[in-house]
Amino acid sequence: MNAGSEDAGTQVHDVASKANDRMRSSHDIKASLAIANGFSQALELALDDLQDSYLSIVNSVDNVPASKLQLLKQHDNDCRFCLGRLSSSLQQLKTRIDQCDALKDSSHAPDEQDDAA
Amino acid sequence: MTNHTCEAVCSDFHSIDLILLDDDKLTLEIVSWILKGSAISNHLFTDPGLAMDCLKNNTPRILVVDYYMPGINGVEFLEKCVADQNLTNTDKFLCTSTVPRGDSLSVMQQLGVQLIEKQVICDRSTLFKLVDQKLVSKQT
Repeated sequence: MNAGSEDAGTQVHDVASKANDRMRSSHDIKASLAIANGFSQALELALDDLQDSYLSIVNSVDNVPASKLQLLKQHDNDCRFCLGRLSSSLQQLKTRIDQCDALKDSSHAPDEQDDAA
Repeated sequence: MTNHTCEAVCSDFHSIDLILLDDDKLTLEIVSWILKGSAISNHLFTDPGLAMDCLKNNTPRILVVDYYMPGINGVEFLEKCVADQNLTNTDKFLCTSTVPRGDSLSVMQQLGVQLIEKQVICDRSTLFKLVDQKLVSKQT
């Protein structure tokens, strides 16, 4: 009898522990995504500052070769293109994580109830 | 990085706008970056002990605590804070993307702690909106 109730207690503990691990894992992934989004925003603002700075320098200097200016603008565009793709990728990742969470919720909830019972 | 993220020693009692406790250094770095140059006074901590020491000398208008931390979870930390300090005028937030279950949830309700997702504090516009709302509501 005691061994049986201990087993049941251990099972309930395992289920609770697994649920806690799942919650922590989900929390950590979403936290990392939030941080990546934050730095992506920060990078965009830093790029704006950089653009303001280089344009003011370019405008204050006479005879900047057109080819150099073109190159500068091309690098700027490349950075912004990559940043845009990075933002899209993060958004896609968020959507997929939300979908996974929804799937987990629908598939795990009955299991936990069954296990606990 | 501002000097507020370096586990500041808070020796003089005063009121500040925001105290954040999160064991994740990257979270502190992005929040620090967002608040850089703003008028929002803040102390950011990764160490719960140092955050607790700071709270002895500072009453923040907003206190944000991460839920999952090594050694002590956010609810346990907030429970200890409320027992030791007068935080009745502080808006207390628990930062997590998942709703705590069981005991933690009922303790949170007793303490008047609100849930907040990490994306809110890592996003420039939502963090400023949150701080503005809370600071304005304190003044009116």
